Amino acid sequence: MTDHRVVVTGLGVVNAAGRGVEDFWRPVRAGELRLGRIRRFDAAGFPVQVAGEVDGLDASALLGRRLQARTDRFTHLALAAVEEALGGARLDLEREDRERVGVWFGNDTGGWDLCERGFAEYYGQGADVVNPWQATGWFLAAPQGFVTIRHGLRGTSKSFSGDRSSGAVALHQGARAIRWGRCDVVLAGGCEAPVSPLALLCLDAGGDLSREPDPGLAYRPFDRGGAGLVAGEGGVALVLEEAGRARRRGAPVLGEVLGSAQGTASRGDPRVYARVMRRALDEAGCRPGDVDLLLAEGCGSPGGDGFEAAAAAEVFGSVVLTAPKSGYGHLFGASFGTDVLTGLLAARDGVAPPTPGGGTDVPAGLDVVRRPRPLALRRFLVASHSRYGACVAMVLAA
Amino acid sequence: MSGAGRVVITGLGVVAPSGVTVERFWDGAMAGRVCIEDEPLMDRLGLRCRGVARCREFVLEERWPGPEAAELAALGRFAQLGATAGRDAMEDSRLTSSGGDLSGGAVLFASAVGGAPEMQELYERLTDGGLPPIRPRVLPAATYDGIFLDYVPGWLAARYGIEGPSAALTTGCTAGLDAMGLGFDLVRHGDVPFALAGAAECPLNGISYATLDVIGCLSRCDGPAARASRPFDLTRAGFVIAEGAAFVVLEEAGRARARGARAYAEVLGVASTCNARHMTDLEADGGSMAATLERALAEAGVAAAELDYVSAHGSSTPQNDVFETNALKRVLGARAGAVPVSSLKSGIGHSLASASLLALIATVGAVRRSTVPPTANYAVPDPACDLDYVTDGARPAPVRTAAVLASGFGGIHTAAVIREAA
Repeated sequence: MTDHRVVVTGLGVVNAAGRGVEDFWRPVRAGELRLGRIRRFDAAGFPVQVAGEVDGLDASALLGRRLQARTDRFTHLALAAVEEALGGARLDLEREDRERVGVWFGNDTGGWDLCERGFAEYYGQGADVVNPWQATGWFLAAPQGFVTIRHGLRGTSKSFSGDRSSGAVALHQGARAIRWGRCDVVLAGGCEAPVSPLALLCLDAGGDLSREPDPGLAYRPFDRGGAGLVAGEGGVALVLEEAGRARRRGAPVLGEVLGSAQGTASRGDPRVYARVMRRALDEAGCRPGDVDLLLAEGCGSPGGDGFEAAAAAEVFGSVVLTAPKSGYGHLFGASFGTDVLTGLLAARDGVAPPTPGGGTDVPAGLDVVRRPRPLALRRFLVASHSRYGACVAMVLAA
Repeated sequence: MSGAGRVVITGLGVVAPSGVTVERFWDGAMAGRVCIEDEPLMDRLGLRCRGVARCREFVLEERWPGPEAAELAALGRFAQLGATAGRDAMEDSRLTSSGGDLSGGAVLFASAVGGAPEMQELYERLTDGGLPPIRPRVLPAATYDGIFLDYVPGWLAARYGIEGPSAALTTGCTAGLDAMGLGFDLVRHGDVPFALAGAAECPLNGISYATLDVIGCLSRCDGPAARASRPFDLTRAGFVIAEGAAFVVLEEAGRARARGARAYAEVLGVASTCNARHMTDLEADGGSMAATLERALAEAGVAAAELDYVSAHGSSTPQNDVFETNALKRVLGARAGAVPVSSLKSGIGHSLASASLLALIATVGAVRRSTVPPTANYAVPDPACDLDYVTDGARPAPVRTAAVLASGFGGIHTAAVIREAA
């Protein structure tokens, strides 16, 4: 028996660029900057001044006030994305075998609004009167739990924390869960809500965040002026589905996961990252030349981007490359799924979205998209690498 | 499943309240040794919960006489416990000394709360006596590494030159078994030749106690703290929170045989499901755990009648132990009363993500020693919990095939089936 094929049949997204797929795609396609000075809290004196914040997310309308009170913002972002993805996939869960539908999500940091509220209650009112929702609301698998409960999903579900690659690991392993027959359908994606005082200070400690206060200069992937990444809020969900059943139910097939791979360049060797990209290509049955666009991690630091550029140059020689996340922020748990979604939309519309603010410093052969560019796009590779060397690559066909 | 290979366990590492070597840990499990003590902080905070289990025998400098001690000392305690158990499992497997190429392997880690104690200390330092606002400060890099969850897998990968997948699972109290389950899939489908899979947890801080106490999860038993964890007993009243770490090395069976590795046991099946009902509540009839165990058995190709022992989640909460008892009755049918069931948590509490993997390693001990480990602290029978919980001490009996169960926040259930190595 051969491995199952995996197709994408639904998309849902929310982040600083927009709420909903088309709302998100319009500014991303145009390369508009949606980063701004932090407004969620008074960030005076904080080392980090810029973030990608989601405005106008009405969690109580989406979830009802009861569920809203029990959940952190990162769960709201996840539920909003899942709602849209399920609708787009025209997946009637009443008719599905829910034992075979799973949730594979990434989240790096947890639910910090609830955490900080819990701390304030603990020290301000007393340890015996902390809110009863914190234990189940803040931990990193809470979004997975709330999604499975809200939609009655009983299939194998897993959540991953892995710095910038949190969501990448979830998508890769979630696709494998279908490929290997553990699930028929996987809601793959993730969420991140890092714009809280404590979360941003902890993320900043890692050294990957940009301290540049000008939103127009803060996040510049593959650029001489690269000062690190800007964190953003976001949720993303992709409906991944076994190809045969998607066809039988007449689902809208938006793309196919041709292959994916994961590795660890724990000693910073770009050849390991290159090997991961090649393994994904091999699994996809593709040559490097078959890839029309590389959606890169683009973490915005010279070291990290140099590492990625070296790997890409080794694999592809020359390739068109973009990192649109510099327009709305790095979404950690939601990052990779958002890149996959962006690739599918780029293929649909035949246009490569640019890398806002970046792209002046890459080796010869790497062609960074700096303005929206018409591009006949059939296959693309999405790549991610993290602080501790985790590397993921996924090849999709639209 | 496509082209699935066989998977054996070739290395073990533990850091547990009952010991920091596998043999001592097994001795403790078989003796039903209780390692639960008073936690004065719970009283000081005005909480109703009682008891903790600490890894008293873990001394970082003793376990790491080299330069790693200083590096690990700067990190969260969960990372120290995890790095230690991971190294011990790796060395136990002799993969490191066999001189082979380790680059293709995987490192899979799990934790539920990561550096929660370190995060609380940080919050105190950044505020005025714990009261907002948070005063900004530039923090050292170890803050990130010691609080978030994925330092340990990256560190272990670097240490051993492992270049395959590394990841941290966050699925709460099933996450240790989930990390093993993911490793099992990666190995048997040929993605990697071996996987180092484990979990570490250190939730022994005020905010962790408070948030779990307020929802009534933690033990409120009367009497000495040593008796605060009493799974399946009528007077049980919550779980005892604990720290600990556990790692296993999983390896494709043919490869393990070819290099002359010791195979402790074979992993036959691992299944994980969601009850999709509630973040913490469990249905009394045990249906969702029964379905999970049945899936694991089906994957293993094992009939329920073949189970010689079940290592229960056995958390000592009123609802879990009934839920699990009824799940086992559904799966085992008329044989339910004849299959020994016990809970390691009776002696060493519940170390969240690592608890299920410690239970798995104790079950490997049961297979290796042909001994069923007991449930400690059992005194008052509960009419709703009427299985054979092995309450009179360890029981010599062949254990060829066994199941390990775990449940956790988020409505997740995971079951693994293992068998003595061929």
